[in-house]
Amino acid sequence: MSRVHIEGSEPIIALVGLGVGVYFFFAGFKELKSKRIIQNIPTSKINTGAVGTNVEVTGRIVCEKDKIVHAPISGRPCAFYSIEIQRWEKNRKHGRNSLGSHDTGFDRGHWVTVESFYSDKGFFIDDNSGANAMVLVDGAVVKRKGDTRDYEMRSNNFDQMPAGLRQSLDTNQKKLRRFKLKNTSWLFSNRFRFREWCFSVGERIFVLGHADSGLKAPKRNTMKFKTFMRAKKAIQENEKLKERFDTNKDGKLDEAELERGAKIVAQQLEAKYSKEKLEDLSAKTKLVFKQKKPNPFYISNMSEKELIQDLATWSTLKIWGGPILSTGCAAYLFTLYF
Amino acid sequence: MSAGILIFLGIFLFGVLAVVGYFIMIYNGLIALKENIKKSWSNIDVILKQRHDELPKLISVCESYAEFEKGILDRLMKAREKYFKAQGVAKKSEASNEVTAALQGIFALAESYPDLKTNKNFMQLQERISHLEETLADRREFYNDSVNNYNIRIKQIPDVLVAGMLNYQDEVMFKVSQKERQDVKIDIKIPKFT
Repeated sequence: MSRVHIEGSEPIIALVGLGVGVYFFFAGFKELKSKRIIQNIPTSKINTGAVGTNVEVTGRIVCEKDKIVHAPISGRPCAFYSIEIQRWEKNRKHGRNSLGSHDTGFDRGHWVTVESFYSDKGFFIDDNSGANAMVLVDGAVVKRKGDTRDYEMRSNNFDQMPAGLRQSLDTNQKKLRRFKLKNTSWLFSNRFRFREWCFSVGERIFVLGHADSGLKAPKRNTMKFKTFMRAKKAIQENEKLKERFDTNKDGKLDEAELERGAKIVAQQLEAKYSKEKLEDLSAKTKLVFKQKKPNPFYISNMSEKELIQDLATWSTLKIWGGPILSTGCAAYLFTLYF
Repeated sequence: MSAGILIFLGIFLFGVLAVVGYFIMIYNGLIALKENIKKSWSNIDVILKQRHDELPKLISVCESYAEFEKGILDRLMKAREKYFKAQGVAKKSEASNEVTAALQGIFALAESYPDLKTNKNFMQLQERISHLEETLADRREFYNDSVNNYNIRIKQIPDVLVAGMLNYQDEVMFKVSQKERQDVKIDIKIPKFT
């Protein structure tokens, strides 16, 4: 039975291999091009870097003390984190395959990233030149060294996920169009994986991208979850505040009333405590890195040398491995059908 | 057609694609490097222009002090004139170095004129020019890095082949004047204890 399975799936594997090989070949060239761009652009100082052009800087991540966030899965304190939501997708389902042959039973799959979100729009880096740069991560190629944290579960068990992860998903729910945090029935459940990576305060970061003037730095006005929770606690512990936010005057503070009140109090708290510190970092911002096509945009916690080495290795493997894979698969298909 | 021929054709096709792709990448890379040098020079030029715009103001402030040495101001004015007439990176960097040296002379001499040293306009100009000098130093470093990258690339294989076709030659670096490289002589007089 298993022999039949392998025979039936081989042409498909060969066809996929042919495509993957071609893809690797071109991806390898893309990485080689990236490597050469990084090598060609010298490192600038943030304070004197020219704006309106591609700039390469290295520096350490800086963050206001009250802006430090906790990564949802690992709970690590960091300046910035990213969560990738991945869904397990089967390569093929049981049944007749596209070539019309018999049932193969071939049900291997792969993880597909359906959504991703960040803790904030970006972070600040400082290179001791007397100014800092803001890095807006959206659209950047992020090359990281170091581990990622994964959390795997099925969609019928969403209510059992860690509180931190749930909170961060809840907060970003509006942005997530292709992912809904709703428990499904076991029958229609999907396998999900939540992948977390983060940049810690003080971590050395390499950035290459289009730099705008610091005057264009966007105002960061997203409310911090920590402040929101603090505000919620403050209301629960204070009778006067409870009374103030009890809008239907039933003597009880239900969840909706509590959340509405917490939002108001958190806004006031943020305005009171964070304004000075925020203005301090923003005032020193000389460059703002953001995606501007067709300019390259790379962020990495590797050194420039390590990054170049990494790109060189992968580009060589892909440029040579891609054609070998494609040619091998094409030759196999040829022998199979001609 | 046998599988062997197919493998050979596949390798040949990928080989041709790789060679063409690599050639285009090298060609575009060299063009980008050359343009980077032009752009980084333009960025230096902007700062030099800003510094030159400050010079007449500095001269007029110093001239208001009748006893201030005319010779050193003349030197600055001549250096400024020379910069405006200079063509090309080498000549411009030479003239710019002369301006820097003349400015250093003025700021050093100002130490002996307490009234001038505490003059608000002079202090502002000194601060502004010092800031421009710092920016200039960083941009000069960036320019030299860009030139260095380019000069290395056009000599490396396989870039040397494309550079030869484009007739690309070595670019000149922004050199620091001999005077700036000299060690500062510190003459400390230690009183004798008897």
